[in-house]
Amino acid sequence: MSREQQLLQKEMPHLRRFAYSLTADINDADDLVQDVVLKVLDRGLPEKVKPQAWLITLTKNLWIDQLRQREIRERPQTQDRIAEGSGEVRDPADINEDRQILDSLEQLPQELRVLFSLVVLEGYAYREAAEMLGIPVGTVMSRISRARKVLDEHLRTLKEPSDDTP
Amino acid sequence: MTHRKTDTDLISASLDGELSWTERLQVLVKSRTQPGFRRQLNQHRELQARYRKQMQRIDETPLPDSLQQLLGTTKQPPTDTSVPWKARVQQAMESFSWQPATAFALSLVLVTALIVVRPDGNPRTLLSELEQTIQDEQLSQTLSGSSFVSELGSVEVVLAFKTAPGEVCKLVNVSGTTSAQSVFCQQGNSWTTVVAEPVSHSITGSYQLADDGLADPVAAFINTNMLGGVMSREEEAALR
Repeated sequence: MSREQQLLQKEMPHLRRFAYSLTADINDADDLVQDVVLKVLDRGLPEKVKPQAWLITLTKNLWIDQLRQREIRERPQTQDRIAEGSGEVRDPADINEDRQILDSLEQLPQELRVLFSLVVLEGYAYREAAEMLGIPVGTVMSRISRARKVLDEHLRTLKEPSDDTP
Repeated sequence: MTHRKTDTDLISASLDGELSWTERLQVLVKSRTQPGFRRQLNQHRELQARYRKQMQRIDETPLPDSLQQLLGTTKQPPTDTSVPWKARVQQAMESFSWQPATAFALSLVLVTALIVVRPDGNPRTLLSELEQTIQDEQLSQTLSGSSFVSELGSVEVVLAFKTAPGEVCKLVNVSGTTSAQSVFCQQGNSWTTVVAEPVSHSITGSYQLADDGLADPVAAFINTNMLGGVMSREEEAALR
């Protein structure tokens, strides 16, 4: 087994979670991870890089490329696909809540979503995230704070009944 | 230029474990005294837990065959559900349950070790002086934010908190020839020093401190033993 394959195997759970938080769809996440794997196996791991950080940056860059290139296509209901994949029978209320969570992630602008994924969901320190993305630590802090605010407000609007509701 | 954190910034950085000790205390005080702040903190904590739980769903989904083939394995690689160290620490802190005897013993071991190994600063003397000089009556009467003068210099009560066994403890800053930070806890009718750490000396200069200005043993003791946040002045006053 090559060095790259060993690294990818080890990092696979992190990569999948990171990709899932970016794409908000399990199948799209696995597609993205597959692109990452193909790229790594094709070009090899560069010398003098931090492998984990390099993989994360590659994943982020490929995701942005995909967003730019891909036309927005109609997707089947995300949570139905989760239920298919895991073979799990789930409460419709839970499915609805999950869908809200994923939809809210998609409300975040790219730069906020990447940081939210890295720091809040994957637990990287501000300093580590700042190094990976080449931005100041203060920017990381303010963007994360902004992301939380956007998500909170989005979920709140979903919970509040609209004025039109009879 | 120093960026002044808004409440949302404070809450966000608090959940990410990125606050200095001074800011952590600020969060504790605000969460104790400002219901709106506390509500916002809890909302964001709950939100974070929901997002993390959602992301873990992909761990339950098998790796596609195409990916398994690329990785050179026909079976699912061992699922590493671990998360980076910081998230693990945060999760551990969130699920931490108070074990008073263990925590107190560990604190004492830590403090004793630091006191014994410190080559300069004469901490044994300082500890002894603190205990002798800060009189029970003065400490019990002084509320957070107030100060009194002792033989050592000015003594300021920074905050008060309770531990799980119901002891009241106070963090004090002593500014004099030797400056120190210390935590006193009330046991019966007397106050006992549980942590004392010199932070500067007028002749030998400052000891090494974290950027946030709190001595590590003091910070460790508060972090481990504080139960329910910082007491308000009204709660402190009610105890007098």
